[in-house]
Amino acid sequence: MKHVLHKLCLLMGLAVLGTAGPALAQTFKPSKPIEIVVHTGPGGGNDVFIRAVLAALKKDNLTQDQFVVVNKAGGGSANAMNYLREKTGDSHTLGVYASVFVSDVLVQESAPLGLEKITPVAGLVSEPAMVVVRADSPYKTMADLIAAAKAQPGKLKQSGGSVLSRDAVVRYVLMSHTRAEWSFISFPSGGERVSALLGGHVDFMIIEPSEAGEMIRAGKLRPLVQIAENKIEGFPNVPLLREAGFPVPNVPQLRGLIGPPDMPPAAVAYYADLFKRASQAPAYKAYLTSKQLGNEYLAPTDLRKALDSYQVELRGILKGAGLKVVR
Amino acid sequence: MSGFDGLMTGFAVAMQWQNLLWCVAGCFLGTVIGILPGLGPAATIAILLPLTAAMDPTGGIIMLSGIYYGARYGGSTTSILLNMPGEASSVVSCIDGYQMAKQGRAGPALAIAAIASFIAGTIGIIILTFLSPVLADVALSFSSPEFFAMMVLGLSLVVLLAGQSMLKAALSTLVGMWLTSIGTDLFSADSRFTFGLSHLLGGLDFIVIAVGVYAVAEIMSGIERGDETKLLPIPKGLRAYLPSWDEIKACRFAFLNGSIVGFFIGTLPGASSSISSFVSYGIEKAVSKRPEMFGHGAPEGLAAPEGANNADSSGAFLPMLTLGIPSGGATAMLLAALITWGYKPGPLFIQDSPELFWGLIASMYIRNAILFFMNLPLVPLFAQILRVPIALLFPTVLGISVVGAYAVSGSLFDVGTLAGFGMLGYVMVKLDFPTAPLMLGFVLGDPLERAVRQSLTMSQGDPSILISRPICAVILALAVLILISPLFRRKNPRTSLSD
Amino acid sequence: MNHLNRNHVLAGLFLLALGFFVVQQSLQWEILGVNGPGVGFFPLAYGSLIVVLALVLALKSMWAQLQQKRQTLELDHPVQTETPGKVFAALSVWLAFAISIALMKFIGFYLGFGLLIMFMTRVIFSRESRFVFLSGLLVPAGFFVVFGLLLKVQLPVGIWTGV
Repeated sequence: MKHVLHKLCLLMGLAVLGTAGPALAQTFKPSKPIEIVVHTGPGGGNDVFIRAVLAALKKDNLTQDQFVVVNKAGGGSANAMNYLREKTGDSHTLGVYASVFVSDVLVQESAPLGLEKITPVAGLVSEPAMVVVRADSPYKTMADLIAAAKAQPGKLKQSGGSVLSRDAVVRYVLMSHTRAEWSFISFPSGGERVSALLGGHVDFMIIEPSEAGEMIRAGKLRPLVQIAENKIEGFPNVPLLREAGFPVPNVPQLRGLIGPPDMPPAAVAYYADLFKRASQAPAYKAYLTSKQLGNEYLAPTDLRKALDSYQVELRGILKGAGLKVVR
Repeated sequence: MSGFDGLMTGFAVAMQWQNLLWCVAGCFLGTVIGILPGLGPAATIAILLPLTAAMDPTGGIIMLSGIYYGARYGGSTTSILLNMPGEASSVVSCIDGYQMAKQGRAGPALAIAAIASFIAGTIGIIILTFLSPVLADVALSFSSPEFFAMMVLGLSLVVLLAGQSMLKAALSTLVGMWLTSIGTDLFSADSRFTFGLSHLLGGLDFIVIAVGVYAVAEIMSGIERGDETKLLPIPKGLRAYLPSWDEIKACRFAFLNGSIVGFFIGTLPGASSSISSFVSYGIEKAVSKRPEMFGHGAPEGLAAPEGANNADSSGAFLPMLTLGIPSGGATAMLLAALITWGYKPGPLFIQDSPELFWGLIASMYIRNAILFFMNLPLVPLFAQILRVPIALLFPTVLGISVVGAYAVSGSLFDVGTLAGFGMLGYVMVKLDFPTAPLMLGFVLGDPLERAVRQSLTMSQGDPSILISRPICAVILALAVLILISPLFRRKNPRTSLSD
Repeated sequence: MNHLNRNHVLAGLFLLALGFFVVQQSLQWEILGVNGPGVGFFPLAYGSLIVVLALVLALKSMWAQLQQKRQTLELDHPVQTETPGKVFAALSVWLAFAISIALMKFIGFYLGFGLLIMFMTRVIFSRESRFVFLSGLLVPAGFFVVFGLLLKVQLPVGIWTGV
């Protein structure tokens, strides 16, 4: 009797293990709508981006899953990060990050989450930029601009976003490389920045090609250099920064997906795969091309490396710029 | 294509039955959204964007801009009836609108709001049609120093919103300015007054404060007063729902004031919609022959901000259509929608896609009319809200406030903030501290600080930039005039009696 | 009137404390930087103004209070004290509101709001039980339908009811 009982237990144990085993390696399938957290309000950069991406996914028929965009604006990335922290361990929450997620962590003492806690899911795009001046400006090349800046330190004005934005970081990088100096005027919205330039109140700005494209075509703005690894389509005559004689490290605006801390690996793999397929799908690629975004898919491990190295790089830049770095 | 020709072409497009249908749909949806605090046109447009992707672009953009516009109409309804602003720009309408409703003139108040919106909307669209290129350049010449001057003008209005005690009004304003500085500083990434709470890094939200100070506090006051079952006296008969000729005549200047001021401030990217309603309210009070009536149910005190917030949305289309520059979340979404349909908003937009541009402009006239005729007959219907027993009405208003506050960023922290400001508003009313200056200080504090710091960076530390530029000088002179206007008022014996 | 002055003094003192706090904080930050006013400039400015004006308010009200006391002594009138009215009711509604919000974190919007409605209809407005129960049940349901389903607005969900 004991024997039989023993055997029965063994069999049952094996059966449980048998079903549990594949369950662990079982592929994840979303069982409810997936929330994608965005750190801006509706109409903001990441918001417009992810909505378009989701629309492209639908067009390409890549998934039947339902995605819901959730806006958690405030404090740069703080509100969004807070939400992700509250969703620790959840498999149905994603967040769209931008470079500001990295810089906020470095500078804000009360930042809710460190980068090491976040689960990287997929790098998606890197957004290039251009230095533009007004069409009637005396500066025809980047060299002109830098020379003028050197001649009169602090006189030239650049309009841009917050002191942690990509425009500001490029400024630090360029200023330390060229030893030139110019002032930086922060405007909270893109509209104000462009208006300031068009109205002649500032001398130049760094702007994404998708925003500036039409104004350049209309002859209101003139691009001087591109800030990218590879030339942007549609601007063959505009040199890259390093081609123009400024071999500085590139400062990309990265966008991609992250997940809450302790996200189950099966879920991560699922989403990573989905967006990997997306990066090769026609509608998605068409959208990226139309917005001149660099299609740079990164798998989770690569994204982790990229984020970490960017954090290190940014820390150095911000410290060099005299900002208070707390991490 | 010049103004008039374009308009005719546009009307041909806009009058097609399917576009008319989309227009009506947009207006209706917009009105509903405007009523609810915390739910704004930007969010709605964002939700509808994927659905509109498959639509015909003309119909789509007409509907979406109908939503944007309709929200301004809807926001005034709850401001007047419940002292609950549905939108940032409707806050000022609470001041005189709710007082009118308390005096049993809810119907006339709603009607005047609709009329003012219609007139201002029409004027705004006319300006947009014919003066776009000129004004686009004027708007570009406005930058931080001019903004500074405008903020000073706005703050000098505190003097006019002061009511009894200038001292308390000033303190209210200053506290408002402190509240708005809570959060992350744009220029240095330092955080101010956040007490280590990551929730505060983004600062406080205006709607949450406004709904708390106005709606929640009013409920508390209502309970303290022991209001009767029915909230406010219900007018009898249809005539009671319409404004008297005297009232309409009193608003003559307000209609014009709201349109011009609202439109112009709307064209400036970075000027939030509530600024135009505050400024036009202040100007109206400054030129009024009976300023003591303001805050106690003066119809022109309602007409001016109502007109302003409509003209403001027309103005916001100016940089969007002539340069492709958004003025806020909603216009940014509209631009995104245009791009989705394959258009390229920018300086060449009017040239490249005249049918869409003029179709949109023409639809604005139509939309304006639709909203007016949609809302005016609904006035008696809306006024019936006041028949709901307050045992149900008050909790419902609290519920809507909670939903609205939560909708801002999906965090219960905002709802807690709402409760906190409800208490503040109640205390302020008990102590006779005016609440409007608190709102004004909150709205203007941040832009003022930004404008000063931006200007001084532009001029490399030279403060004269703030007064030397021509437009600045003019606006600052205006502000000074407003500041000293009470001195002239005292000479009027009628006014000093009622002071 | 008597109470109003005393309350003004209290308000003045409170604002004075606030002003001091703002000034103290802003002094820890950069006041004037390379590019013009720093982070602390504006807070210092309005903080100081708050201090000054709050002081004026407090002193004015204290003076008015003294005048009043002198008046009542001279006139030998019983002071017209302000009836408490239903201030207590108003404050308790606020408290219920605050508590229901805190509860929403755990039990969600429907239940939290329902409780608030029942409190208000029963305790404040003294309605009969049937009314209380029905409204506590139906009004949140209405909200759920209008906001949650039709308009797709997110309603707070609680830990114990959250999905």
